[in-house]
Amino acid sequence: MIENYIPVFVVLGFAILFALATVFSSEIFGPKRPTKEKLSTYESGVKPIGSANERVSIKYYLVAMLFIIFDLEVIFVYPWAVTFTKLFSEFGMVIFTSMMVFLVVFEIGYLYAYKKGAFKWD
Amino acid sequence: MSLQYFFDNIAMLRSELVIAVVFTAVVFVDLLASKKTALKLVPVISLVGIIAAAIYLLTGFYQTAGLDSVGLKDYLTVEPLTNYFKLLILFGSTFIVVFSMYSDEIQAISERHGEYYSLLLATLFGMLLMVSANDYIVLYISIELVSLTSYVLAGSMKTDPKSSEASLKYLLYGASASGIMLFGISILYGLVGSTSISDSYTYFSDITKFSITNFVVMFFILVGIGYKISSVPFHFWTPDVYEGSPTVITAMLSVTSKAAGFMVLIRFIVEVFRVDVTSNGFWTMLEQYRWEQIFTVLAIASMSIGNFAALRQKSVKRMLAYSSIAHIGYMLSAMAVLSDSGLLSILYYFFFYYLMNLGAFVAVVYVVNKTGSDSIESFNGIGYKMPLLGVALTIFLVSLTGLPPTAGFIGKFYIVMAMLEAKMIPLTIVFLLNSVVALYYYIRVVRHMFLMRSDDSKKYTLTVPENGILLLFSVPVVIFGIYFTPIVEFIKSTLK
Amino acid sequence: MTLETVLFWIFGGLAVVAAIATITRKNPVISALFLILNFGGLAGLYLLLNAQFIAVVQIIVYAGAIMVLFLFVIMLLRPDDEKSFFAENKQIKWTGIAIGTFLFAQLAYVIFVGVPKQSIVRDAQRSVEIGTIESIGRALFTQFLVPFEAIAFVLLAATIGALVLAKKKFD
Repeated sequence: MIENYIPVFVVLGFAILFALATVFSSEIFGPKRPTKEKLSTYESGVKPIGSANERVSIKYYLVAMLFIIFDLEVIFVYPWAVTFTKLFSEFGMVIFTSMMVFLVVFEIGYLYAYKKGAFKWD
Repeated sequence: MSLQYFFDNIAMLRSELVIAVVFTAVVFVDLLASKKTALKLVPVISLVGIIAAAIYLLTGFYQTAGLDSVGLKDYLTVEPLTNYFKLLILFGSTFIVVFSMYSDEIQAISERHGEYYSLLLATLFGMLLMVSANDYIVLYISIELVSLTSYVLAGSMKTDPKSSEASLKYLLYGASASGIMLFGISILYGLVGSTSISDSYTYFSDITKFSITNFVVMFFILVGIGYKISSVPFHFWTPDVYEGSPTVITAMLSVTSKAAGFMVLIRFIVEVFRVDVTSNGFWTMLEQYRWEQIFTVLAIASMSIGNFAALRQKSVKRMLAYSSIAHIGYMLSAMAVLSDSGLLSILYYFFFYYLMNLGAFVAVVYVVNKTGSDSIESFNGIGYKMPLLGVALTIFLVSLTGLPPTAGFIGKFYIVMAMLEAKMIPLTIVFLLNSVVALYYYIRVVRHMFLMRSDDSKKYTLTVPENGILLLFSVPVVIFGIYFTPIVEFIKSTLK
Repeated sequence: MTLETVLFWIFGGLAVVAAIATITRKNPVISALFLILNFGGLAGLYLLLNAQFIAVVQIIVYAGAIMVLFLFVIMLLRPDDEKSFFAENKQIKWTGIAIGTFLFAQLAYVIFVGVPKQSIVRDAQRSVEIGTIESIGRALFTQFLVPFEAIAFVLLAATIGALVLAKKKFD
């Protein structure tokens, strides 16, 4: 059972290795000659003021929220796509139309967000 | 297996289908029409849609045939009882839309009218689905739909910090309550192997599988339902949310969403724990789960805490919030009887509660419109400034107390009769004592309206449709207090 | 040791280490990043339990979308306010520790002392079939068609609700 996933784990292992290698190779092989100026925070040539953890705008929240909602939509499409051929031969058009109804209702939401300017960065 | 049954039976969900279409239509109109036309069109479409759904529901009111075959029976139940609750909810929602059209709080957020009405319809859709739900997954999805939209609606007056506070508190409480409920459902699924509410009867009735886990599951699911109907001890969100929300939304939370929640409670008890009905209408329950005691405790707690907390409130909305907890306590005490007559008395009570509570809230909406505050002081002298409103609100409050000759008396009369039939004397005494306590704080509002002088001598006038709405509620409250046979007969017919 | 046992220790260890790192880091952003690692470990454990679909959803939705929202929400807040709040309310820490200990003891009791009432072999067999995307798709599009369509409305309402709450000006 789990043996089927060995290729996935191999890819995962390579991904982790690659990520670690790119980050740490520059750390290991790059020359390091620190001076006081280099180590200080750079803020357009001016001395830094205040905390770096300023509050970001609520607009980011909106983007993330819409991302979650559309992500969930995709999650429902996966099982449909996987089972489609089998279920379609068994039940016919119902399988197709049910997904279309779902998507249409959903795209109304997308249209709504678009028209109301949710994607505009004003 | 064929999916043909799906199409044969989907037409049974009459009102849900109409509301779903109207919901999407409202979103579309809001998007496509110009700002001005949308502002006028959206409330009208919602209103017409809800009325159409109610009429369409009535055309097949007594229909149950065809559902015993495979199909929606699995996870949705359509029967006269659920149709009655759906009718109540549609009736309440119709007037909530009407109130919104006359509420200054809602008019002030006109740039978000499309969203307001579409969310109102989405809530309605969720409540209708909740009433029919006979499967924990449908139940959870519909409760989430109702809750999600209610959080946003409670916070729809964005410039008012109290409204935002109400929204956040509601969200935090609601999320944890529905999370606990989902946890209970998942344990139950692990035990039973099916998400159908009816199927869990087989598990619970098996005496060899009786264990503490069953009580944990039962309690967890009760948390979710108790939060929806705001019975003590799951009521802590109620006062703050009711106070902060726009008054119209407070009315919605206190009537329609409670009716939906109560139907879920009835379904849960009847499907899972009722063994049989004896010839004289009493329910034989699974003895080991002690629902009679649980309901008695919940009822006494809800009645007493609701009423005694209402005594000290300065805001009328907050007072009505606590009084609605007390009213849920009254209905729970009828539930404790666990008999057909107890269930019937709940159905009667809900109808009368709708009339008097919606009426009381619309009167409060008007007073808030005029004076800009819902504190009890702002009711000073209202009886002379707006005589019709004063008289109507007095009728509603007297009815909420349960004094004759109003509809509220008839509702309480039937509950007391059901309790006496089962010889539940102590509960009846607590019930009656609580009604006496309630008299004090309801009449206090009347005292402020008629016996206290206001500081200013401003004159307020209500428009003709506004007065019409008041009459539409106050006249039936009195009439049904005297002549109630048709309503009682109609409700009895839903339980056959 | 079989391959599954080895993988269990790898994923389980990853999840535990990441969870501990999540609650001990001072910087909430780093905590959130460790939480993503924790979700990754959990996804591996789901995979070992034959819940393939849940494992994929865990990665896509939780580690992907929800953690993005988490990070934005952390950045929306002022972490300094939190610090002073916790400095003033010391008892919160102890309540948290007490609840955590209780929960841990409970789980440990169930796993090491508790005896399952009935044999769970049959259910383990069934869970292999249930966890696949095929069986979830089949259940979703035949048995649970109405709830599935209802979810579309829930998500539509959620889109509208998110916009109402977060959008300052409407066009």
